[in-house]
Amino acid sequence: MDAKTQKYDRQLRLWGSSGQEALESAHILLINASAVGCEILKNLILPGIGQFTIVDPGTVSQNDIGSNFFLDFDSLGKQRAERAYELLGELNEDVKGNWAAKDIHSILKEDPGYLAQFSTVIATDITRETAEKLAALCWVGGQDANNRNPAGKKNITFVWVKTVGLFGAARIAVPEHTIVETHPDNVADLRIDTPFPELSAFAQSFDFDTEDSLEFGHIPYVAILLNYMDKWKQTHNGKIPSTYAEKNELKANIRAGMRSVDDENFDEAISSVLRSCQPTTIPSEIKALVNDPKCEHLNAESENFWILTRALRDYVNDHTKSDGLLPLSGTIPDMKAQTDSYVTLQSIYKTKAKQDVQEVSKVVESLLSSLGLAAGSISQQEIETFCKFSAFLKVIRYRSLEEEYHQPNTKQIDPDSVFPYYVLLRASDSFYDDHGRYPGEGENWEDDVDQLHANVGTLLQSWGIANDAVSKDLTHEICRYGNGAIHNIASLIGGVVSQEIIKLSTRQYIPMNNTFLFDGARSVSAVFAV
Amino acid sequence: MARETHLETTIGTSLVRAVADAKVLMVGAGGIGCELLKNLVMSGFKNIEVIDLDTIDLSNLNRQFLFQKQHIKKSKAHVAKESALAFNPNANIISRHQNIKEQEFSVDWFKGFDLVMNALDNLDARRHVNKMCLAANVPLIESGTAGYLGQVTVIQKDKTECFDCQPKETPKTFPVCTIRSTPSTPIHCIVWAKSYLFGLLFGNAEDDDDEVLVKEDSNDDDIAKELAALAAESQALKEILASMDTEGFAERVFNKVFFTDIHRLRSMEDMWKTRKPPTPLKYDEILHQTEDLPGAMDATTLEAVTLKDQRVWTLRETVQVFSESLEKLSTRLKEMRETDPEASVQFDKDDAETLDFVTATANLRAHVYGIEEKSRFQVKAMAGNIIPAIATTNAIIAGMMVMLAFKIINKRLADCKTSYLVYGRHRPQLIVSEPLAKPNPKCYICRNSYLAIKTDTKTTTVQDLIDLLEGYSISDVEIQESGRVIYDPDFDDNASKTLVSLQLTDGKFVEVVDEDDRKIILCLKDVDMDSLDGERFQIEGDVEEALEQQTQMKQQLRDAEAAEQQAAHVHEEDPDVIMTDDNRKRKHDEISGPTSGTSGSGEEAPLKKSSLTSTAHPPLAEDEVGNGSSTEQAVDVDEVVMVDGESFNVVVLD
Ligand SMILES: [Zn+2]
Repeated sequence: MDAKTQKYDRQLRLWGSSGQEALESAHILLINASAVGCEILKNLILPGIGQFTIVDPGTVSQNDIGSNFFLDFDSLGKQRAERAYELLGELNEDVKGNWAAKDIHSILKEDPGYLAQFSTVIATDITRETAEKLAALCWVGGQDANNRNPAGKKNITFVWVKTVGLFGAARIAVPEHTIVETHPDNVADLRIDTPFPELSAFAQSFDFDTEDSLEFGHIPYVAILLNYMDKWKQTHNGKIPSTYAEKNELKANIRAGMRSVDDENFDEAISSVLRSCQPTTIPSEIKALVNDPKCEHLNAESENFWILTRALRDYVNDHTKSDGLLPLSGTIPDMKAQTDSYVTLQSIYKTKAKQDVQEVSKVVESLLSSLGLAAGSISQQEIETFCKFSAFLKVIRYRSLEEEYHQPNTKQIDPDSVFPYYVLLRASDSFYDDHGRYPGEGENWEDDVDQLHANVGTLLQSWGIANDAVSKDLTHEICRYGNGAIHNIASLIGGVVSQEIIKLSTRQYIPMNNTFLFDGARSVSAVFAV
Repeated sequence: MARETHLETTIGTSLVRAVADAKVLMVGAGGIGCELLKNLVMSGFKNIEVIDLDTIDLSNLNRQFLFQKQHIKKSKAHVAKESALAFNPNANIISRHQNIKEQEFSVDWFKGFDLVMNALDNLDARRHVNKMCLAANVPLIESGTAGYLGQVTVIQKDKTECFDCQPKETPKTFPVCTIRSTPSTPIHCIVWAKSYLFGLLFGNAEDDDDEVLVKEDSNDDDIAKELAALAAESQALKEILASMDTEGFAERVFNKVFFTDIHRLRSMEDMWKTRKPPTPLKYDEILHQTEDLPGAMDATTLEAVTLKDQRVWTLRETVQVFSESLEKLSTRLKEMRETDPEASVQFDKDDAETLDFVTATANLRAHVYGIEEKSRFQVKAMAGNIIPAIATTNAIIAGMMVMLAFKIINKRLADCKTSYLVYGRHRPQLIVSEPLAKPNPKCYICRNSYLAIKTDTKTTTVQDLIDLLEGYSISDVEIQESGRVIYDPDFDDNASKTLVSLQLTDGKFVEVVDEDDRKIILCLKDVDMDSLDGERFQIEGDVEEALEQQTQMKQQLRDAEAAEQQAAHVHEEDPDVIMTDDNRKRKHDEISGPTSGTSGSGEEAPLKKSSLTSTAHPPLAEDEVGNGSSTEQAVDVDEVVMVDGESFNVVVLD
């Protein structure tokens, strides 16, 4: 076992070598080496992203040292970008780091296409105006506005993060994020309601009248279910149980077939009745996906995901091949059975899954050739994985910051818990626009309360929401924080944000959409798509 | 103190002062521990004691950022302290490379802290710290992570649920015959390789019997015979051990275990009437085969997966790994025994040679029995009980812990909540919080009253203790210690014995139950007679109050039981409704369907605690959660149970 595999063992259990590879190809830009920014990078450098870059024009202050673990006493007065790069870099020798003690605006002035080299841009300690500008650049792949080359365009994930006192927030924006490996708890697809011929034959191969109790006690529960389901259908016009009473009746039938309480295989069958009585269908989310315009209008630039989804659609529509069902996942759960019958059952499902993959592959190949793409440019492995998880595919289309600022989906935010925080966050931006500083940053923080509350009122009015949605106590609290960061909240929010960036970078698991808010004072948090 | 300006404006100067004065104990300096220590130091905590018995391993470095390569094999506690001090030299950190269960860490020692924080990775230590904190009446912050999931809560005697209020999953056990003679799944083969064969070859003669094996009822004649034959088999293998580290040793072990023994088993025809008989393997036949027979994986997959770690080895590769690892381990053991004749090599999932050996032998056994073979990567997880672990989750949980610490030090227990870091397809939230639960009236651990008692255990007898209790009208008592009966009205053999002669010494918990079923736990403190001012005992705390508390607790228990019967009754009447923990009725769809809408705060999306309170309300059966088509199964991450893990653990029930 090589040292790298051993070092990363505990995380490979979570996202596998494909996830690790994806992570290692990530290049993350951090704008401003704030406490939360450095905590995010720490959590990304440890598991081994490919590269990071820190851009920060500032020097290390006393406040930085108080809240940022990666800026020590020796750093005082030095370049923040350089010191953070040095101390963070020590965390993992496999990760390459870069830094620039410059303002992001001046960098972009010199090199408008600067952002295009990054997979993710994390912005902290920036104004709303800058956030909007950076987010818009990331949205189009980081290309210079005058030099837009749609062919070279790639997704750049934009992440905005802020912590103030005991309060933290994060926002993710990327036009489209597609996921095949969403890591559902269970991909077993047993087809008890619509067994394919080989499966029926397997079920019929068991002798339920056998004298041998050991053999009887080892009939796999899948065979038991298929057998009793078959009998049920024969007396119910070919229909499976649909009402609760009917399902209970089927359970009772199976229970009646037990010879002793030790027949765990029958128990397994009984406890799977409800799930097995759900007709095998295509989930509505997947139906929507195959009807997506991106599926319809494929071109040579289409992501593999969309070519595969189109192939899935064509496969499902060809009933002679698919019976109108998704490809079989091919995995079965553990069950009480003799080794050889378990292995046989496993191979029946695997073989069918393989056949389905082959059919999908044929469609993929013909799509590739019609798009003028090389045969085999989507690997067999990729097609297999796609088929296996085809019932669980996921596409997230985030709202852009621009959309949010002009028309926030305030209805998505729970009015009783985090809504006031969202309003205050936005009101603080308005306050900044008016005063050139954040609330509470002045000589006497209490002087800012009324002004900030006025900003709150204006915002609420513009959204058509009653003025009492935000209590003045909370406004007071935000002012008292004076835009200061404390380490513990930076660390907590940094943990949350880096976790989501890992989900995005590995293209595994479903990342949050689109805003996370947290208040440590009241242990309140929420995720919503504003 | 410019350094703490933001901290002061955020949490207030008085709390900053209280934090600086607080004495905190951190148990565990692993994944959560590193984050926690950093956060404590950066949050103005000045008096921190950290204890961990572990040393640093390469596989820690992907998240335990206070450690680096040059620290491998050093004490986690010491290195964590040094690294943290580099950032705040003013903090007073005491580090201990010790087991928290050692006797010197007494109830009194625990009482010396204002707050205890668990950052542990095993059930046993968690239970111990839980009990000590209850006895010492010190608040405990408990935490755990597994992959993207995590959990954090507060335990305070009589105010909240304790760690043991809800039963925990215990490790799975297997019948001896299944492991030794009739394996049918990969895990049976792995348990055999790790717990039987490995121990026999590289362990001490004494620790033969592994706890995971359960002896079957040997009334059955056949089973008794088989067990006897197995014992003889082990004996024969031990004889081969004499030739360890000599030419041909690997071949002799191989042929004994995979040929002779299998051959014998195969000859027992009765056993194979309903099972596929095993096929013996011969060492030289496999190695001399010109053709390399693939294992369970076919050729195409074999090519696709390049990592040797992640694919199943061919039979010949397996035999090669077997003999190489056996050789290396034998040499290692021989060297160890030169200085310590009792030395043994322990299986360690992160020790490549031990893992190689277990993978190879488990797969050879699987091959013999026609069972699916596994890759080393998979064997590692199955043999090592590996829980995935990453920095991100630990950072979130440690951050939540310090938030709770602020509240506890600020005397605001009521503001504390239990929080879960969750993940689910249908659940937009990341962090879900709920109020701290009340103690479970049935709990055997926290529903006791603890009293410290000082006496000279060398001269004090059990009778003296009984007399003392009589003085408080605690009569007809039954006295136990760690499950052994010391005294009861029908067993007074020990009455005249001294406490010390019964190993009732300093730090021991003596359980006293009276005729009214009131239970008092006496924490023994051994002192010299002359320090007691002529008394035989000195009790810290109020006995009357403890008895009154016990009487109330018994009443609560009766009330709870009555309520439960009532609930069970309702449940029977309406089969279409599932009882949730809070006794609200919800229809199936509400429980298992996707959470509608995308907003909602933690409080409004209560975690179903049904699985956490499994005695009172068993976890929802798979059956009852099923919803959606067979391919789109309802996914409920909120069904968490606490088991042992890399750090607490949260396991998602399917
Ligand atoms: Zn308890």
